[in-house]
Order: sequence, then structure tokens, then C-alpha cells
Amino acid sequence: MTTVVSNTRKTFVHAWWKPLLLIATVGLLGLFALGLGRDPTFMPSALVGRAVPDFELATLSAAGRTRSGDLAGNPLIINFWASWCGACRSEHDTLLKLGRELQGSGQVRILGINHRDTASNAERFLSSLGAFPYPSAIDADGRTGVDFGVFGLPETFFVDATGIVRARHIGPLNERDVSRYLAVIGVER
Amino acid sequence: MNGSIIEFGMAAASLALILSCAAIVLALASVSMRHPAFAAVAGRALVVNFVLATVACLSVVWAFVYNDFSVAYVAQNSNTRLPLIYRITALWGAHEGSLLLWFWMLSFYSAAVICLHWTTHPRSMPYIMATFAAVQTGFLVLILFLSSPFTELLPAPVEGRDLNPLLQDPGLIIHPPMLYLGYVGFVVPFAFAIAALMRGSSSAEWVTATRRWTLFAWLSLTSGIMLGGYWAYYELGWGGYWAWDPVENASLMPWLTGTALLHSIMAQEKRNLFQGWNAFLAIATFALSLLGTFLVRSGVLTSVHAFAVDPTRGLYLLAFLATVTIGGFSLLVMRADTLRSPVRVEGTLSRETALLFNNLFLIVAVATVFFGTLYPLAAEVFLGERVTVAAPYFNKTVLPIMVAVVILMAIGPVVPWRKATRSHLQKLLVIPAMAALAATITGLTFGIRAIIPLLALAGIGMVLAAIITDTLRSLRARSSTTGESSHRALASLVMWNRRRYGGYVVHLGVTCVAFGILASGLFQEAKTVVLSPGERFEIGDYILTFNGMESVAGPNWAARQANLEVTSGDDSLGSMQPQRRNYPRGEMTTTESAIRSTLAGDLYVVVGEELGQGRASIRAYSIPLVGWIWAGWLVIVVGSLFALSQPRPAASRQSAGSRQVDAVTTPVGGVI
Amino acid sequence: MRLVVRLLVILLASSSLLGGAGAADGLIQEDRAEQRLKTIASGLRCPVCQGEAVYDSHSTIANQMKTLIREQVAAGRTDDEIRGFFVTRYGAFVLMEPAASGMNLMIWLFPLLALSAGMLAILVLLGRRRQAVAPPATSVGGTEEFLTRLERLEP
Repeated sequence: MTTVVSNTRKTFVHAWWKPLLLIATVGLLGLFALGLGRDPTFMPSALVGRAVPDFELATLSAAGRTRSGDLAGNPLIINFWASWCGACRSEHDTLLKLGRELQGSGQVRILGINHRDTASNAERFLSSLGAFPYPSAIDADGRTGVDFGVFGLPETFFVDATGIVRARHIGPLNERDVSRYLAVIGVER
Repeated sequence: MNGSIIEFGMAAASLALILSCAAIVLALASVSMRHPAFAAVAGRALVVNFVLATVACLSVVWAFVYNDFSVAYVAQNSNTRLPLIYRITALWGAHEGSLLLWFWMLSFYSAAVICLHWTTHPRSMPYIMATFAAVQTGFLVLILFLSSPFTELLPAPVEGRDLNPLLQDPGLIIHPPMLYLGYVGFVVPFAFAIAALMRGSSSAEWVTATRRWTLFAWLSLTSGIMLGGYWAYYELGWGGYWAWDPVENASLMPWLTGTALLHSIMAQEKRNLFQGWNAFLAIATFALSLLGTFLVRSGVLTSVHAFAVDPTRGLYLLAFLATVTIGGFSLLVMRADTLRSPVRVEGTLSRETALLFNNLFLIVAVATVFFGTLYPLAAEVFLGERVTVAAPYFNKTVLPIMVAVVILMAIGPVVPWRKATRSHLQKLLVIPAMAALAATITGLTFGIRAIIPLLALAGIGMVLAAIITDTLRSLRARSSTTGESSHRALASLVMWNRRRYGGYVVHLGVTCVAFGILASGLFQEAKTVVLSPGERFEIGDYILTFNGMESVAGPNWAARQANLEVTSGDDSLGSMQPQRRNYPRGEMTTTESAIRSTLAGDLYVVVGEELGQGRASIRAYSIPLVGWIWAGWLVIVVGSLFALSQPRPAASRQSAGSRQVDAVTTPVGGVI
Repeated sequence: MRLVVRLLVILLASSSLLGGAGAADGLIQEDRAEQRLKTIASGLRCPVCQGEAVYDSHSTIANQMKTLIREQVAAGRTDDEIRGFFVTRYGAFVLMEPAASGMNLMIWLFPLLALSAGMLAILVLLGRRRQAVAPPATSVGGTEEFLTRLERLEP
């Protein structure tokens, strides 16, 4: 009788690694599965939940300057773009449509920021793909981009009426993204 | 014409898939229905698969050589102006082709193992073949259905894109095949371990059979990693060779477990110990090799702006990995009790204990690399945060563990098996301990004050002294018993114990590598200066004079090149020409560093931006003793090859095998 | 003896590092600010690279970050302030290693825990040999019996 008991105990002592090994394996595979399901463009912005950084930039194709203070009071969409950015071309139509739809409504303002580009290249880009129905500011040296934590174009920031950044999108925008983000900053379409 | 060649390759791969599926069924049926002829057919099928894999690879190479841009893979990775050699090596320049190369090597190992072990391991062979066939099936499904290098692109473009310029380099010709030869090679111990577990065999037979295969795979992986480091060193232009990036970590992990396996199987061979643990290491090493292939390719770990993620492919790779790990480990768990031997470790001071610690350190190192590499993924999934775990973390955690491994290298090989007395051990280690002390003092005089580098230096001194004293001791013992002259005694001692002395040479190589890593890390000097033509600056022992920029062009690139005159003291050492190359086809720029290498150290120069009026930004590094890393690699290669050259033990020693030569082999009599 | 030779080689090879520290006239010197740039930029991650430090990267954004660090060094900001500047903009992600706090403490504790657990396992294993001098007959017999049964079952 005693032998049986001690054997059982011994088996238990010897076998502790068995469930551990299997659980660890399944756990790691599970982590990979979750990793596969994640959004590869996910990059939490340090800016979300904070006020829009201040900036004062020259305006593209127009006189005068664009100041962040002048844009306060309304929900705001800020889109970083450049003529050298290939992915920007694929969101161009979405932006044109969005601009035409919202710019006149007074509900929301849109600002493009032309990042690390030259004015002439930017103007050529717009004349070939269609000019945005909203103004763009020139961030030639990329300093404003750094203040926004921009690291790859295109990137789009969604700001609510109180001037707080509510969302940041990395990569080309599409219709579905736009609807989702507009809801976040309190704009009804 | 060209189109039909690639279709021929695809047909070969499809046929290989059918054969590998058939081989699984036949191999298992030969056991359950006790029908040896089935096993013979399975064996032939797998040998034929090697021929088919070769045909498939050659068809893609053909398409590259003849610029057949109707093949999508060729159109994406080559163009007519790409030099011929890179058009051939472009086979493994991207995802789809690398997988095909992987499969080719897998089919090679399978065929070779079947031919070489058919008569010696008849009982295990059906399970070994089933394992090979299953892994082949997994890869063929991936190659044919999820990432096919055979896909057509219609209409065919007139000109292809380009091979990634970073990969247009002699280093790429050899680095990936070496790495894959290592990764894939671990399939052999894996298959033998699975066979041993399936049979419930507790003998050391599978270990004896796979030791050389494991060593060969380990040598290939080591070479692949080293060549990768060297390639990164001269091609990426940041004066370093190892960045602890996920891709590199993925290759280091199977290397660490493979190293543990290589050591731990000695205990099973000599003392019939650690059977379960060895089976675990064999499975884990192969699983990590697969993980290394997949992590890089699935997009799980790649950064935001890396290539697009294909979720189907990722999911398939995950399922494949799950089958191998859960299947292998479940088998281990179920059969573990049949493996437990009545033998125990006898003495605390023994080779066995040293091996336990060797394995402990290597496994903790693997676990740390694994954890650090995956932590950002876990943090993102569970905490919703993006964090970076990069070089500083791994340098602080993994390097100290590796220093412990180096120190152990001085003790492990000289401690006797079973049991040693304390006084005997003290006698063995007194000279190594003195060498460690001398090395530490030398380090202190060179101004090293940090504890880990000092320990590493002590370890290196200790290993050298231990190897030399142990060899001298054996030499003295031999010449006193045989009366040979010391030269003859040394020759016969070494030739008769190639495994042991090959191992020592490998250990010497490892200390060279460790020394190179240590010294180049501690004494590296870097400077960034902005120079006008005619201006000079000093780095290390050298004075560099800037003679302006010029334009040069290659077959498919154009470059701006800086001309620098190098002098040291009064000696003129010639000129150096670092470049910034532009590859217009793929719109990419690469930095071509200029390197002046000697065993004492490298002078490494990179040219940065041009700032107008002929001025340019120049970055120079003086990296002392970094060449010892690559020199150490050569020593490792020599040592490993020497150990591999040991003739296989005579048939009488394989009693376990010969006892089994029974019904299975006789009617077959070879495979081909 | 060979060890002495070896040490001499090390000494000779390394002596070049220490000599020639004095700078001759007419040489362009790297300024002190560049040293601080190195310290700071080595601890920051280039956001678009794979685990590469800003200091080592040649990408546009890394070059801009280096310019910003130079400006801030010139403006007399401390290392921590400059690091903080980037963390508020890019998040903790730009630090090459996570701070040892909160959940991130795990990655620093993990190697220590793994090492301790392994040591414990080895001690248990070595301790077990004493009670195994006379192994219980049943278990060994059982294994052997099972093995023979398996052998018999096989083709």
C-alpha cells in the first residue's frame, strides 16, 4: 500500500514539467495567433488625448501663414502628405471626396501639411492628381512632423472641437476609416 | 519555351507533393501492417523527391538566367541589367524562392539520411521517413498554394524590377544557403528523436546516429550567422555586425539550443543519461529553426513599414509550427516514462554536472532572447503598448550568461565523467586559475573596470590554459606509455581522438570570437566630421585626408564616392573610397563602407551627406581586433570539420543497431 | 609559456589603442557635442527601422532626429530632457530599452527567475542521486517489462 502512495507522489514530482511544457507551447502559439490578428499599422500615438501641438507655417500656393491657433474651435483633420510619398497617391481620392463633402459644411476643418517637400514638387503633385479643396501648410524641414510624432507618410490626425487629438491613422485612409474617426471627434455625416 | 520550363518546375513540385503524401502513408503502413516493401517504396519516393526538388529549383534559376518576366517572382526580383551571378542567387533573394531552397535542402537531407542509415537503423526508418515526408508535405503545400515562385505574370513586363540592392553582394551568395543548411539540418536529429519516441526506445542509438548530422547542421548555422554578421558589417555601414534585431535573434535561438544539444547528447552516448532532455532539445531546436524561418516571413514581428502581411500565409505557418511543436512535445510527454533510465548522475563534481550547467546557461540565454524578442508583441497584444526591446537589453542580459558559458568551457571538458574528487579537480584547475588571474590583471592594466568584460577576459585566459594543460597532460601520459617522441605522440593522440581535439579547436575558435567581440566593443572609436577637400582628421592611429567627392557608375547603379588618403605615422597606407550608391530601378540608396582590415583592427569609413562647396560628412570608426571574430570562425570551421572526419565507430560498437538487422532490411537491400 | 606569448600578442595588438592620443595641428576635431549626440542617439530607436538606434541609422528621420538632438544639446538641455522630448512625441517606443517599471519590470526579472529555477532543478536532480542508490525495484522492472513488450510488438 505504502509503495503505491510513494509511487504516485514520485510520479507527480517527476511529471510536473509535462503540463508546464504543453501549456507553455500552447500559450506561445496563442500569442502568435493573436499577433497575426493584430493591425500591422497599429502604433499608439503619444499625442492621443493631448492638445494639438502649436505650429505656424507658410501656406502652400497662397500668401499668409497657417497658425494652429486659428484652427481652434472646430473639429479638425490634419493630414500629412508629400509628393515623394507613394502611398499618399492611394488615399488622394478619399481625401478629395472628404474635402468636398465636409469643407463647406462648417462642421469640421481640414488641413493638409506638406511634409519635407518643396513647394514646386507639391504643386505639381496636386495639379496632376487634383488640388485639395482645403489649404495645405508647408513643413519643409519636417519640424512640425516631429512635434506630431510623424515617422512615415501618410499620417492623419483627428482632433475634436476642444483641440484634443483623439485619433491618429498611419497609412492611406479609406472610407471606412474616415467614418470611424469622424464619429470619434463628434462629426455627423 | 520559357513558359513551359517553369511549368515543368511546377509540375515537379506538384508531383513531389503527391509523393511526400504517399510516403507518409506508406511509411506508417509498413509498421502497422508489417509490410517492409511499403517502407522501401516510401524510401524511393523520398529519394525521387530530391530529384524533383532539384528540377523545381533549376526551373526558377532558368527563368532568372533567361530573364523570363512572365514569372512573377522573376519580374519582382530581377532585371536584364542585373549581373548574371545575382540573377542566379536571386533564387533565394526573396520569400518564395527561399522557401523553395529550404525544401530542396530538406529533400537532400531526407534522401541522404535514407541512403546512409537504411541498413543501420531499419526499425526507426519508417518513423524517420514519415517525419521527413510530413515536413516536406508542409513545405510543399506552402510553396505550391500560398507563396508560389512559379506564378505567372501576364502580360509579361518588358523589364523586371530589381533585386533588393542590399542583397546584391557576394555575401548574399553564400549567407542564406548556409543559414538554411543549418536550419534544415536540424530536421535530422528531430526525425530520429521522433522515431525513438514513437518506438519507445530508450537506447542511445538515435544520438549516436545523429551526432555528426547535428554537428554538421550546427557548423552550417554557425557559418550562416557569422557570414550574416560579416555581411551586415560591411554592407549596412554602421560599424557593427550584430544588432539584436528580431531576424538575427531568430537565427541565434536554434543555434543556442543546437549548441546545448551537441553537448548534452554526449551524456546519453557515454552514460545513457538525459534521454528525455535530449529529445526535448532535438524537437525544440527544429521548432526554433522553423520559427526562425517563419517569424521573419509572417510579419508577426516585422515593423510597421515592412512588407504587407498576408494573413492566410501567416495562419498556415502558425498551423505548421503548432503541428510540429504540439505533436513533438505531446509525444515526448506520453513517452517520457519509457525513457527514464535507472542511471543517475553519480558525483556532484563530474562532467555530467558541468554539462547540466552548460545546458542551463544556454537554455536561459535562449529563453531570454525569446522573451525579449516576443515581449513587444505580448505588450502590444495584452497591454496595447508599443515598446522596444533592442540591443541594450540583450547586451545586459544575454552577454553575462554567455560569459558564464565561456568560463564553463575551461572546466567542463577537463572534468572526468562520473565522479571527481575535490583535490583532483583542484589540481586540474590550478594553472587555468592562474591564467584567469593573469588575464584579469592584463585587463585592468588596459583600463577595463567593468566586471563582465573582466570576467570574460578571465574566462578566455582560463579556457586557453585549460586546453593547453590538458593536451600536455595527455601527451605526457601517452609518450610515457608508448615511448613515442612527443611529435609522434601528439599526432597519434590527436588523430585518434578527433572528436575531442576537434572540440578543443572549436573551443579555441569560440574564445577568438569572444575576444574579438569583447575588444572591438570596448575599444571602438567613432567620429563624425564635416570636411572640405584637403582637410584632415585623426581616428585611432590613422590620419585621413579628404580629397573630395566624385561620381562613379556600375552596371545597374550610380554612386557618389569620397576619396580619402590614409596615413599612419609616416607611412602612407593608400586610399579609401566609401560610396553612397543609388540603384535607380528600385529607387534605393545603399551605403558602401570602405574597410581597411588587419588582425590588429579595422579602419571603417562611411560617407554621409554632401553639404555643398565640396564639403561632405564622413563617419569613421576604428574597431580594434574585430577581425578576430571572423578569424575565430575559420578556427571553428577547421575544428568542426576535423571532429567530423573521425571515422564512424566500427560495426561492433553499434550493438543496438546490429541486433535489429532483421526482416526489414534483407528483402530490400538498398534504396536505389 | 604559450600563454605568455598569447598575452604578448594581446598586449601588442591592443597597444595601438592607447598610443597617439595627442592631436596634431590642423586636424579637424569632432566636438564634444558630438559625443553627447552619440550617448543620446544610441539610446533612441529609429522609428522606421528594425531595432536600429538613431545614432546608427542613415534614414531621413534618424538624420532629422540627430539634428534636433544637436540643436537641443547646443541649447543646453540635459540628456534626460532631450530623451523626454522624443518620448512625449513618439511614445516610450523610441527608447531602445523599456524603463524598469510596471509590467516592463518583467523583462528584467525574467532572466534571473529562469536562472534561479534552473539552478533549483539541477540541485534537485543532483540531490536525487542519493536516494537512487537502491532504486525501487518495481519502477525499473516496470520500465523494462514495458520495453520488452514494445520490442515484441514491433515488426
